[in-house]
Amino acid sequence: MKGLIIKDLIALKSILKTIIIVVVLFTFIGITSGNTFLVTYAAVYAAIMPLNLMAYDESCRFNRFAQILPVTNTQLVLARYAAGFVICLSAALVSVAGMLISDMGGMEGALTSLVVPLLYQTFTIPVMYKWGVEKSRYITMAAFLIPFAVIMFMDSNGTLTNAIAALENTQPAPFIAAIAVVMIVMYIGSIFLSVKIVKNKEW
Amino acid sequence: MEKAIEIVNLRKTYKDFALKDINLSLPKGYIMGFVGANGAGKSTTLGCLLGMLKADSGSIKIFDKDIKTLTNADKEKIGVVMDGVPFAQMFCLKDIDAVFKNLYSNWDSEKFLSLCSRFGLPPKKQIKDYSTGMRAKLNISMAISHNPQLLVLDEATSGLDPVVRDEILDILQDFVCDENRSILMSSHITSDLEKICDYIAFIKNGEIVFVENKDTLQEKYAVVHLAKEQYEKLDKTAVVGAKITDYNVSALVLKDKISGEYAAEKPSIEDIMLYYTKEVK
Repeated sequence: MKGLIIKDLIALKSILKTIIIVVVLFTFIGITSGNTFLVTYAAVYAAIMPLNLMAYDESCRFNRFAQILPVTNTQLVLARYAAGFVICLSAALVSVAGMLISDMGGMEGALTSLVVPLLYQTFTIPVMYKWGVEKSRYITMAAFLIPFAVIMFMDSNGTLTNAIAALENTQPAPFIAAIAVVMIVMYIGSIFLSVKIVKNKEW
Repeated sequence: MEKAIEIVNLRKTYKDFALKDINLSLPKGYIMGFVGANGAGKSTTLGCLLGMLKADSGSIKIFDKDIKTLTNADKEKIGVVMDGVPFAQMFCLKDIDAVFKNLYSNWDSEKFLSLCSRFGLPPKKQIKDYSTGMRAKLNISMAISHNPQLLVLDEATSGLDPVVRDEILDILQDFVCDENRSILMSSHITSDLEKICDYIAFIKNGEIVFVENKDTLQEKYAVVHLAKEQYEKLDKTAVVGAKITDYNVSALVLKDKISGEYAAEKPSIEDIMLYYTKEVK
């Protein structure tokens, strides 16, 4: 499985510069302008990276070849989620570090930075395994744009901040724990679904 | 005789094509050429064999194990060449080596890099800058650098010049010197198969027409050139296929079913394939 993760990281190397520039630039602009949304957007941007990895695999038919490599389909899927998680976590850490430095964002910013990208992957990775990157591009685009628009709207009129702040003020620990549990359950569920899709697929 | 591959009654049906009861077995230590026209079912058969496609029915065994139960350790013993390099375009040799080193427990980096160097593959160039021939050479190098016991090659020598093809055939022949190693290769270049194969399997319209020892095959058949009148008198059960012109007829016949004096030639694999495909009687 290590080899599969290395493959993904090598593939990402070519676009790493772009990712770093976008994440750092958005974080910087967000901090200087006091806009939490821009800081979290940088992390959300990183969430679409597995889509690039899936596209690379599809173009060279790697998954077909992988059927005869010494890896199981479960390992094949796990490696993809692992690479996606590492990317999300790294981008979220940059965003959260930016928020801490500038003393902005608070808990809702930190949560958005990690939870939204992971949610995106939870939904899009099985979809891409099922229908392929090309056929599922409208779904993956919608999965990116709809939450983006909702969060932007809720952030602009303060609904999101107020709702999270209210929960934090009343029950911060259970709130965070509940988010974490829901996220973990969904992530594991997504992995199981992807494994099932890959096992039944013809390459 | 121990078998590297055993396919029994394999069926796979699509809307407009079907594999019908494919039976194929490759003994250990031998090379089998898999021939057939485009769309005859070669790649579908290989896809089912390698678990890339799901068979509707039948049994497929590699090293005497059902392919559904192959472990990662079993898969380490298999090397495959399919069309196209299975890595993203920005990969170079060092990257591929790094991936395989962490996938195969017996990956031999030295062997891989030396094969690539022997084939003149530039180490720093990205795959996207490789020619078709260079990609084919890279695929062969990848397939044999983890010292597999079974090679499955799908059109591995296509796109290569005769000199490199010859070099690859030498490598494949060396590969089976160890009698535990076997090769199943599909190719349109029948002269390549003629040079190195022990067995020939011929598939047509999703059905195996024959699986025969190459020498037996060439002994069994003959190409005869006849005048039209002579052809008319010939026992048609002996004729596999014929090319009929206005003046004469060339036919592939079963040697032991014809009698009389005919100008006969030993058929090449290509002759056998062509006459079987034409089936003009």
